[in-house]
Amino acid sequence: MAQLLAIKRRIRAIEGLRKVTRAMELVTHTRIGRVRRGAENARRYHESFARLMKRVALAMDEDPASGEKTGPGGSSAPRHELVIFLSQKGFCGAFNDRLLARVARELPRMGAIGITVVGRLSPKWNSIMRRKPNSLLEAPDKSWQRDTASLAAGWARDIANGSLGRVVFAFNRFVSILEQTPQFVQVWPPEETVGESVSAEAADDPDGISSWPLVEPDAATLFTSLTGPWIEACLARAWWETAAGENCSRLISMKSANENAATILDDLRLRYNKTRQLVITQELAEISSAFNVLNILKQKREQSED
Amino acid sequence: MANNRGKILQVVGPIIDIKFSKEFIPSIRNAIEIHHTASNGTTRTVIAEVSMQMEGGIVRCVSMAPTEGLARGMEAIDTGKPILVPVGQKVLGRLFNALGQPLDGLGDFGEESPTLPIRNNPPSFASIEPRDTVFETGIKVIDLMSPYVKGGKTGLFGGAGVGKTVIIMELIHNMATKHGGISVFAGVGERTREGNDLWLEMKESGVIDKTALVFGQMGELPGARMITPLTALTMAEHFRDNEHQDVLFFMDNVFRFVQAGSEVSTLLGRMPSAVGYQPTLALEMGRLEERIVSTRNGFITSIQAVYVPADDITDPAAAVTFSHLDATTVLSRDIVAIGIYPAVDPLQSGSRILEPSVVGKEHYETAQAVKKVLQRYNELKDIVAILGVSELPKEDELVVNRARKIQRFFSQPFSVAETFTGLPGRYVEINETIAGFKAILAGEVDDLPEQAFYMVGTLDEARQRAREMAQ
Amino acid sequence: MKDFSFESIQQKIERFDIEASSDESGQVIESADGIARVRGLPHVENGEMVEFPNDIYGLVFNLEKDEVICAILERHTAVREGSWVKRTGRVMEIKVGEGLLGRVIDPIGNPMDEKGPVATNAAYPMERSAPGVVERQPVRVPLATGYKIVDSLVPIGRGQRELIIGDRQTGKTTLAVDAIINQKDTGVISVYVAIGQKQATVVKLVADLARHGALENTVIVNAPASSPAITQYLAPYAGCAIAEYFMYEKKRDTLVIYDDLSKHAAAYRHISLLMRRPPGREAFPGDVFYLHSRLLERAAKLSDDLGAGSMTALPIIETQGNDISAYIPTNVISITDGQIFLEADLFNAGVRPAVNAGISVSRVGGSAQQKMMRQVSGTLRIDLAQFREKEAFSMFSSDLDAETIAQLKKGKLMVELLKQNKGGPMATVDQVISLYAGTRNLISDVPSESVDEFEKGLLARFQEKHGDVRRSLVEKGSIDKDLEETLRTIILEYKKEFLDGSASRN
Repeated sequence: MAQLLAIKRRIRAIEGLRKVTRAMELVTHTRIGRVRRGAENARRYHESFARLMKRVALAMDEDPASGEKTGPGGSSAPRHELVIFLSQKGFCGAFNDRLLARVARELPRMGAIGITVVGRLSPKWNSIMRRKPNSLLEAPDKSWQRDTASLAAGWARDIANGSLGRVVFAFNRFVSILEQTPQFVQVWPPEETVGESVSAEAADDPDGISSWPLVEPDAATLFTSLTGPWIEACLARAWWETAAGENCSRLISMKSANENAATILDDLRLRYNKTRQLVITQELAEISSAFNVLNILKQKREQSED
Repeated sequence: MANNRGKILQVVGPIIDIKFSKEFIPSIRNAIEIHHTASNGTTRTVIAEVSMQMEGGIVRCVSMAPTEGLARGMEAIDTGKPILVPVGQKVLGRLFNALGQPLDGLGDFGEESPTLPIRNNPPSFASIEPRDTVFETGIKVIDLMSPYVKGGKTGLFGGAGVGKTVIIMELIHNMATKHGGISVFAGVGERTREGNDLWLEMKESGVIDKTALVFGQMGELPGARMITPLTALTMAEHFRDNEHQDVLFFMDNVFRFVQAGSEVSTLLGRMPSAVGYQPTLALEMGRLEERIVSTRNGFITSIQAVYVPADDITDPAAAVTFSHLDATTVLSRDIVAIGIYPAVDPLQSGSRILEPSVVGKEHYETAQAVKKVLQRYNELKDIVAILGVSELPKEDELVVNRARKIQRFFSQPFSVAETFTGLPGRYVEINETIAGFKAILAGEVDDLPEQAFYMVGTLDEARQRAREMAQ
Repeated sequence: MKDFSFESIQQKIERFDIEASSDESGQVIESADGIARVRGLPHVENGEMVEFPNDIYGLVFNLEKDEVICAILERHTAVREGSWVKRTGRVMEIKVGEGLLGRVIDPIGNPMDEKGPVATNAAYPMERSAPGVVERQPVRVPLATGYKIVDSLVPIGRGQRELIIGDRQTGKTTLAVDAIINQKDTGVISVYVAIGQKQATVVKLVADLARHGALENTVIVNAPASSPAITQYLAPYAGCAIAEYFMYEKKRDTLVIYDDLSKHAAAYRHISLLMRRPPGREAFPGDVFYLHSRLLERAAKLSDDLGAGSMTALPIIETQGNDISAYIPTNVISITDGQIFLEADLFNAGVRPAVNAGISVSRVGGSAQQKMMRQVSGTLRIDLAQFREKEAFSMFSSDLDAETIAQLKKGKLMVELLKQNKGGPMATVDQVISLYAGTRNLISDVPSESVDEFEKGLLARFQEKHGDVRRSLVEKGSIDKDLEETLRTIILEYKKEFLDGSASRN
């Protein structure tokens, strides 16, 4: 009896849980189309922006001190920044932890660097990173652009005044529904590794920036003035890729959660029924054998009386 | 051995022990009559059935009527035969109790009227003619998704308020008009109120003339409830064996038969088997179900409402019932909620003969394709319900549209409901049904509005309706 | 008083004659636990009453080969080994008549209140077979309980059997008793059967009925927890027979409450085990299903030929730990025409009545609803079903489409509107007005915490200023176009005042 109630309680608990995971699966399912489109657009925009940055850089004079064609910033500046993009919500499997593990591996090679987190700190943050983030931006779902604008502007300002030398983004690149790979992108100084398609394609691009008649202002000024928009483009891409990856990852984990719940429920229901039958059978066996024993005793007594 | 007399020895609840002389001990299953006069002067006859023979000419009997008023020493007469019930054309349009006594006040049956014992053996091995042929019901959703077997048994699942009665009445009607057959209904251990509803509706729709009704409802003693299906079946067998007619046999509810058997078993003091059921469970069921079969003379096709105790299909009572079923028709409240009648759930209903080798490749494949579309629709429905159709990709939208047409096309006007719906009933032949669903699946009617498929017979009618709607 | 004793003496003399002539007596050979084993009485009938010395009666249960087993109805310790036993020639009967109204009796028919002897005019057998298939007609007339959630979602019709089931302390008795109170102006005769209850509970209940003026249409049959198992076993049959008198003889509509059948089954098990009848599941005897099925099948709507009287039965079952799959609950659920589930969780959360509308059903009541109630309850049912279905999504409200959000909001409002924490039963017309406001989206901007206050004010407004609208609703029994317009206007008008008022208060 008590056993039955316990099983029933478990069934009810798992049913309740499954309702939530099922709802989450459905919601995620419909959100995926939107975020995938967003990720693709952001990636395309970012890539063409990267081409533009490259052309402008090509047209610039080398910096006499470092021999780099990067304008302001660079390794000489005092502050370096690593921005890690994590998911907005939970329930998305190892999405965050995979990225963090990669970051933890790379971090020693980066030297002294500040960490900014966009998104929600994963519960395993401390055990993986062993340090606290310097700043945290829990960018909400709907108004991320407004919330991140100040961040981008701040970095651009610091780059321009020479206090910020390097900005690196770490995020999960969205490959397909089933695959997201951790990736590092150096946003500043702009690096060619940003987009996989930039270098080769851009070099022989006849309509590229190199063929533009550059009049006024000069390349260096243009480069500097593009810093803000460039960071924003990078930010948008990292944010959208993260959102797409997060949702896909959540869809997969919700799907398997639902399947698991269904399996457990089937199992529990079977166990409930078997227990129910067993309890009845056992109880009856006890009652009726006791009854029979009493009857036999009575018969014996009557026989001895006769 | 008629008029062999004995005396009541003991009465415990509905169990009566009677002593006969050792030489003339009544056979098991014989009917025993006890006449007695109550204190207010009325006389009545209690009928009991012998279920055990004991030492010294004593028989233990199960009473079919309350034993209040019986006394020890009263005379009991062994009729020498099992309980006899009236059979033949005269039983049509009539209403009986478990003992085959008319309850409708339309007069008794004469002494000469033919009777048969209710405890009959299943047809002999040699006379059985199993045929895996489809029994066409003319109801689209049943014929397509859970085709009935001639001489087979179909389980009807679904609680009250899902339109069980209407389906039963339509089947009776179609049996009479298309197959020239008749129907027998056994109400076993269910509510008397439901029996009253069925009886009144049958009178109103006129199908009662083709039907014999036998009721042993839950207010009756377990003994009476237990023999009710046998009484009804005996009437059905007579139509098959002696009048060579095809018969539809309804039983509502087969679980109550098992339950009554279990009550009797406990009262007799038998050792209970698993889950408290009678040790004789499988045999009792077998002796009932094996009588429902096709023979050279004709067939008895049966539709049995099944109650699953504690929703546990592994319960012995459910398991033993399922082992006899050829097809299942599941009625669902969700389908009632969207206004589709008959409210058959096409995804949960099925049939043993829904195989290419029996129903043909075309039927099989159409049914499978319909199932697939509906399953996909079910998955998509949740998304549509909370987030709107706009979130669906184009190809899924097509699935949704076709599935909704299929769902509506499963509805059908019934002859017996003509007075309520105002729509003349439609009997749809199987090939028409298959052709119709095939066309929907192939996208031939994607341009017709959904509403054109609601409450029509064939696909041509749907096209006709669409034309009318366009005007 | 004088007449009474004279009559009983006369009866005794008559009985004595029978006894003398039939020479039907026996001797108690064993008396224990209220059960007497008797030798002799060779011709005693099954189910007959027998008499012991000192005016003690017993009921024959088993006729065994050498002995008769009787249950002693009262003062069983006074029946001793060796006492004589006599036949009475009568079956168990209960005296019935209008004189029972407003009275509290034990299952044998003795008064338990202090209002003197009970005037009766007939004796009805406690056991009687239920009306058959052809003696009934469908249930078509509503029996209002005065609770919105019941009357709209699990409506009860006259002649229906509706189970009230739930753990202890969930308001089962309150619901049933309020149903009686709500019958005070409907002409329905009520019978309340208390089986194995605390005496104090029954005393309080009688006082409640009297306070609401419903006692004079009610008969109370009381077999308290301290009474012998046999009287607890007989109580529902006695109550049923009393209702049958009003149903068959007076062609009245009746309402019977069996509070509760779990204790009744336990009393029957008690007797059966002592009589050594073979035990089955949960040690109940084999015919425990029949015990309740034959009782509840006696509730019916009679055919016109039989006078069209009716008996509505509201049996109560107490569950343990909300387990409705136990033996007795499943039995009774399968007998009745539906069930009202009361839940401890809801009760503790302050919901009154604590009805779980999702799993409560009424299989016939829908066709018995008044048209105006059907008009509002149809959409209410759908609203609530959708609400329950989508409740799990409410945490994703930012992703839902507007329609779903509206459904969720409406669902919450309707749940609030269905609560009836104080004030007891409500007139059907008031229920209809209040549900109309809710289901037709007229009050979706009333905050859910002030729904209760709003409803009270709205109904008062109708009472004070729009008596004509209420009256024409009652007369027509349905909401037609004109009334629809009027209702809408009044409700919106009041809502405006209400919202303005509460805004100015803040």
